Amino acid sequence: MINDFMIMILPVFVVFVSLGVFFLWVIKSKEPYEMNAEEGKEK
Amino acid sequence: MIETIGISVLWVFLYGYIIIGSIDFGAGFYSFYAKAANKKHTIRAVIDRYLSPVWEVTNVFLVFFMVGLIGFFPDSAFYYGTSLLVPGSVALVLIAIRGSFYAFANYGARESNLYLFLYGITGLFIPASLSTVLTISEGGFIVTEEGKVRLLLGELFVNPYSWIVVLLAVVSVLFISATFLAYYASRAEDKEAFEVMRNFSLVWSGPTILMSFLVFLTLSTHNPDHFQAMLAESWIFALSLLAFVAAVWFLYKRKHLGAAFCFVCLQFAFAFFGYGYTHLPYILYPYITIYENVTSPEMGITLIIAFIAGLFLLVPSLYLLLRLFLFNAEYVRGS
Amino acid sequence: MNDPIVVSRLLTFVTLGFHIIMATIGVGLPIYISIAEYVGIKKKDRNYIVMAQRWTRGYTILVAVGVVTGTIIGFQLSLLWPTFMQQAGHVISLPLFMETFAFFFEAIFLGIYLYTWNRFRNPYHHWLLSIPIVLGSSASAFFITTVNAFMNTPQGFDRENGAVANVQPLVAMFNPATPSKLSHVLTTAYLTGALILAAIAAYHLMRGKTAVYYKKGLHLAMKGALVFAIATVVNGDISGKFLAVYQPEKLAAAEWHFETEERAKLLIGGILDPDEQEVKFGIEIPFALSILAFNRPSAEVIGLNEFPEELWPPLYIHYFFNLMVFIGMFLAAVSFIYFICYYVRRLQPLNPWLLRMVVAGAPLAILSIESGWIMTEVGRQPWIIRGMLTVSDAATTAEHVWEMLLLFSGLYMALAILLPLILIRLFSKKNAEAELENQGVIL
Repeated sequence: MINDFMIMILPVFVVFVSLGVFFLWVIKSKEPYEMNAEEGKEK
Repeated sequence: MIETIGISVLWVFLYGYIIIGSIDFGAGFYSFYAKAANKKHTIRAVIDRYLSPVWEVTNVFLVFFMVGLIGFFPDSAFYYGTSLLVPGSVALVLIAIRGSFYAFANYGARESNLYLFLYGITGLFIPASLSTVLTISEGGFIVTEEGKVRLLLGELFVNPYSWIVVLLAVVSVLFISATFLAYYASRAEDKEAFEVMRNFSLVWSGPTILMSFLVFLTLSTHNPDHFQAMLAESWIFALSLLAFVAAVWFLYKRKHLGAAFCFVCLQFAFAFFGYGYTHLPYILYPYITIYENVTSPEMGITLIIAFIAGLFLLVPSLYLLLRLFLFNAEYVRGS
Repeated sequence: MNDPIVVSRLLTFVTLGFHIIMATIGVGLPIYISIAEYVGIKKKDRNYIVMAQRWTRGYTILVAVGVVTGTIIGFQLSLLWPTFMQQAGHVISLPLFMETFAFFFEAIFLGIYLYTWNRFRNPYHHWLLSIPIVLGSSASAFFITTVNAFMNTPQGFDRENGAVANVQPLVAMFNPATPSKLSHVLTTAYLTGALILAAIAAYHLMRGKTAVYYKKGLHLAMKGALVFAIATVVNGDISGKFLAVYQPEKLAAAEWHFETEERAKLLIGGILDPDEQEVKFGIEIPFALSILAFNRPSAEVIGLNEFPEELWPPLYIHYFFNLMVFIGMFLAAVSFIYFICYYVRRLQPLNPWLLRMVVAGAPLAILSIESGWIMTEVGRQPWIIRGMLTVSDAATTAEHVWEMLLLFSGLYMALAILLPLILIRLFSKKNAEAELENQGVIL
């Protein structure tokens, strides 16, 4: 039972969850290497 | 029912490939010609603007046809797959050279004469090699020995019908492409390019119609049954001829160029669907027919549903593509 | 060399081995392009826009070659394996058909995306065009993976007098192998895409480039690398569980696990004495195979001796299996170390050693993809469709396969030499700094 769930359902979640985590992490986190990030912004 | 829908869908895709592929193949050849003749800034600008966004779409039509053929008529994979190893591989290598070198020349950093040459010349060899599949489908080139399928490559090489079909494919490509590019150049208001392409179109119109007649003649000895069937439906080929006359007339008069291109499409549509309709029920003469070798109804219906669903996705996207590039006057003019 | 079966296999191996690189990158890159553009618009940071534009350009060339090799393999399946396509055509042609649709969809929008960077007043409208590219490429991967899954666990039809009957196309598509394979294919593609982008940025930083552009690119890609490396480890474990239940002979062959036993050990490396079924020099981890297979150290894992020897897959897949797992772990470790160095103060994430490992990660990721693919394909031997059709019965009977192998090998060789040259020339002629300046970014 546990195995069936793991084989049939869980893999699909792994894809969606990892995509979601990745998108959120990139969008929500602070700009990296802030020391010189300012110069990249449009003035 | 399923076999009729299936073969119709496939034939429409093949027709789409013939028109779009011809424009693409011919454009490659004219592009190379323009470079060789140092006419870079007239025709080539027009050709590049048309080709760049749509080149990838061309191949897909061919793959569609192949995958659909296997889906609806799986046995054709066995016969055609076994027999076409050599000619199919040659065509594939040509397609590969063409596709990759186009990308290299277009997105890569440098414009190389070698790339352009390969791109132009494969544009003529690909239709030539693909057209042999239609020749093979007429029968007489595939034998079965002890359950093994074998292609008589030597026979194919010395057969007049086979060579006439190759020539017809090549001149049709040049004719269809020139007509389209003439229309596109006129939309782009590029007078010089228009004149060049119009001349090409008129030059190749004669050979196109001549070769079509010769195909009829040689088919009468190669596959008399098919020839008789075509005679019985001769009205459709008469319509094709009428469309051809109308197209050439408009081109000659330098007016209604959009209509001229539409008439060329109609010319090939009548001829191609007439040819296909009379070819039935055979997919491969005399081994595969659409009735005996059709897939199971379950798969057939699922494929049709998938196809309709796919169209709902594709038609709007294609419309967007065409609107943004082909029919966008500003884009066409390059502004 | 005159055995058409061997040569057909070789030719398929060469074609797919080459195509798989393009296909993986083709599936892996779009999500990064899309998110880079989104971040660029949202944060009004031109660095990300330039990033998305440059990635797209490289992506387009790779896709062009991928279209070419994909067309080749599409046709070669029929040319080299006519009996396979005839039988598969009856049952599994639906996803093949839909794959073409998905690719068509992607190709159309890639064409539009590429040529419309400045044609929309609202930049988000252009970004929206990247979504169909992401969906189309991942959907292609989904459909084609279901076909491969079907070859491993065929279902959705009955056999009556040797012919296929009662076909259920959707049941065939959603066979037991589909979820785990799909998940593994997608996350490894995303992981490989991340490493390729990270490696490019890391390479430039190593060479003394200082623009924040490279640092942001590296950071974005490393986030992808970490997330998808973890996901890959998770669904790699799931794949092990799938094999243990549905394809035990493949898992057993990959692990040189001969006797069915409880508390099975996991074997790393080693040299096999096939007659004695004994392994020398291997590292053994007690209980680990049972845990991999069933999550319980006491679980019973089926061994190869349960199967007749003529149905054993070649045992060398053990090394490919090890290589794949090892590289996967290495990539997870590198991305993990990067973020430790980044978040722990006083540690330098851009130190040359770490950058060097990131650069090495890109070719390793591709090597891992290749090993994993060899392991799963060779592990299905002698079957082409498991339990239904053997590879030797499926191969073409046509002549001249050998010449075709030479022909295609020459083609791939030319492409393999030209492709990197073209890419390098394209990107060095118009370097990132110049492009940033063009876009009004002050360096």
